[in-house]
Amino acid sequence: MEVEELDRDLVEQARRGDREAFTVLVHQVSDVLYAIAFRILRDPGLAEDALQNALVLAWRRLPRLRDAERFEAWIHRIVVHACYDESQRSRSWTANVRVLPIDGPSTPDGTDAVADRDELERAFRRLPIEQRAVFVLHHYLGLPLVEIAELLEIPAGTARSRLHYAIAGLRDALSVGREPIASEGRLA
Amino acid sequence: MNAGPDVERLISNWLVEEAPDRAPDRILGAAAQTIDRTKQRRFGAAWRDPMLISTSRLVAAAVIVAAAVVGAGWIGRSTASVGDRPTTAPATTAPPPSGSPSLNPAPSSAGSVSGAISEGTYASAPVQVADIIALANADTALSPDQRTHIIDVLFEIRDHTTFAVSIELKDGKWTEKQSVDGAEQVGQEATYTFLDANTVVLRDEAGVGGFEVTRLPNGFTLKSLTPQADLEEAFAVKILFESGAFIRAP
Repeated sequence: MEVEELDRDLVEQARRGDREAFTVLVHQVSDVLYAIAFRILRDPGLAEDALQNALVLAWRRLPRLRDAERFEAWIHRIVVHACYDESQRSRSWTANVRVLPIDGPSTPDGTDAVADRDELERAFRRLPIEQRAVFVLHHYLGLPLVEIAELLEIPAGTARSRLHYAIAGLRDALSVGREPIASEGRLA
Repeated sequence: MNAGPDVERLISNWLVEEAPDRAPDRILGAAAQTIDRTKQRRFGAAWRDPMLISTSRLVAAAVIVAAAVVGAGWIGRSTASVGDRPTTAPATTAPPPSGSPSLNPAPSSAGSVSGAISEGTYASAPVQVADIIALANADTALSPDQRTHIIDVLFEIRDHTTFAVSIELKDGKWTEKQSVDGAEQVGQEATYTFLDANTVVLRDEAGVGGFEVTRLPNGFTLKSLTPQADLEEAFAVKILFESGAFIRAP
């Protein structure tokens, strides 16, 4: 996906403490940031918290951004790390109980696509958060792995590996088929 | 269902379609409210350069920070054993470092002060904004632009009357707040750890830094252990942390 080019002067003004300039920047990037957070966390509440925390952190840390041209990559990194924090917080103090829909054979009218999406959703939620992040940055934002590695400050090989395992996990979920269910629903 | 050659396309389509694309306005509003009360994190640029701290303190800080990170996520805890260690008697007086602005001379700390600095809020006496501006104007090392930046951006005190700083120590977290005419903004949030009775190490998103702590009967004074990245930040750190004593609020 394409991201609108940000006004470098606006970034510089925000770096110097101009809250209005930062507000304009926020409105330019917040939709993409939220989209990233939601796609990584798969939960609107967690994504909202991650976004809010990321925006406040971005304001606080903005003076340390040396190159205004790097603002987008820089704030993307902040929101990804905010997602990591939210994921950790939600694991540590929330049971995060979900009742999964009953798995079963394909519906007679052939809505395999819907079933596949459900399966993808479940499989995606089972991926480690770091794999989800690389997957989203690559398949949603369209960033090449080298850029993802630079953005996340990880080795390129690590980024490649995370993407590989994310895709493998999702492929397996689609190719293996649905798991047999003994009861009406199951908690996750 | 078997995975076919279009599975990656299926995954990509699912990723694009299965989520909202608009950030909720109320979240942006909530963030804006918090940002209004929050200062940008400017100070401590030099803290990212660990070579500016003495080697022994750096090693001790690294060990403590690493242990804190491993043990409790990224939030560290203050070392509970500080209070049990025998303390060295602090200096009898704690004059401001040479060349620093003198707004509130620190009270005498005659007699030893033992025990850890207990959790709570410690506040500096409010100072007149006019005095801060006068100090900035008197500092010949600062250019007019730097003075303007200090007054309008770092402190945001132009056209205001009083300025005060408080430090809250709670659950291993150090929160520094700046109050301009009574309106508070968060300046720094960090985790803190005492290396010894007179050295505190702070860790935040800017890196690791520290202060020499001189304990007083009801508070403490601070002296930054690392120089700042530029003259503006150096001036600001002195005003914030080294201009007087922090006394425990009732």
